[in-house]
Amino acid sequence: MKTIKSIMSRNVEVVSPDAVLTEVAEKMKLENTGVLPVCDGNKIRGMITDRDIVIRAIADGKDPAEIKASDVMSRGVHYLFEDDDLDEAISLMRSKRVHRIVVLDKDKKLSGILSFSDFGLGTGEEDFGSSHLAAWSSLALGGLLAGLGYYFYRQGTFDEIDLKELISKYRGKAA
Amino acid sequence: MKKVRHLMSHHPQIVPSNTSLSDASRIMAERNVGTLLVADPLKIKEGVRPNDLLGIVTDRDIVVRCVAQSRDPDLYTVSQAMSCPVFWCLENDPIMDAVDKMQNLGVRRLAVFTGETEQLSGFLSTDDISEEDKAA
Repeated sequence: MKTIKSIMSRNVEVVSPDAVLTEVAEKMKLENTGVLPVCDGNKIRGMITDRDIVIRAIADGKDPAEIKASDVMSRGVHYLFEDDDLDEAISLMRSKRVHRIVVLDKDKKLSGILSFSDFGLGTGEEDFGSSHLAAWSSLALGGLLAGLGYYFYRQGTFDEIDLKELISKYRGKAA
Repeated sequence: MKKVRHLMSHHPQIVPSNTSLSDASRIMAERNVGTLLVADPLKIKEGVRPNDLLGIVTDRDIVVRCVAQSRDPDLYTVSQAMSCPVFWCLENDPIMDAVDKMQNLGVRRLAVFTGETEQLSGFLSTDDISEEDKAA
């Protein structure tokens, strides 16, 4: 099994919760990204996107030089662990149309970022090679269901215990 | 074969070129969109035709071209932050033709017009198109 750790980007640009939005915007421009993790040391506090800045600050007439990242960031962070299976990560990102996902270590500290460019898939909008297509079809329904359950579990949106059971059920079948 | 009209977003939002970026942000928040088309105020009243579109402005443009430069979004207008020109296609074009067009032009968005009267009817983004759609 290939893990996320093997291909993720380790040098992740982050912003502090106290960074003001003009600083965050500058960093987004510099890094050519629309999303940055908001971190207090190694601990992830949330994610901030270019859209958060527009919708939650500029549209409300707030001064971006005075508003902090922690005021407009999203606190629910989608993440995976660095030892998680790479195929599963790809399926999650494809099904949810997420281009980047935060990767944490066992202690839930930020360890890296996995993006489509890490596995040579560009933004996920280019054509897939035949090998990728074969990999995709092999994931099949069980994998997708487990993936989705796993995703929601990680989001903490649904009841965690039920989903853990669901995942182990599908994993048991797959094994 | 899938056509552009099957995947496009309807109700494209058009704003006059003198709209401030703070007003543009409010429109994006209220209508829950991230992209606005920009046209001459007079042309918007008459009905926008393909050559009347001046540019396209996204939430990201507001961040990168205004906030990151510490410019005032009340004073900076969409015409100063937009990307141009705007490329377009027709509702009944096959989706693959639109995809080819975007790839050849290096853009991620196309304005969509009706075939007969050339009325602006929607908006197509690469985010609206999945791999399955390209194959279908």
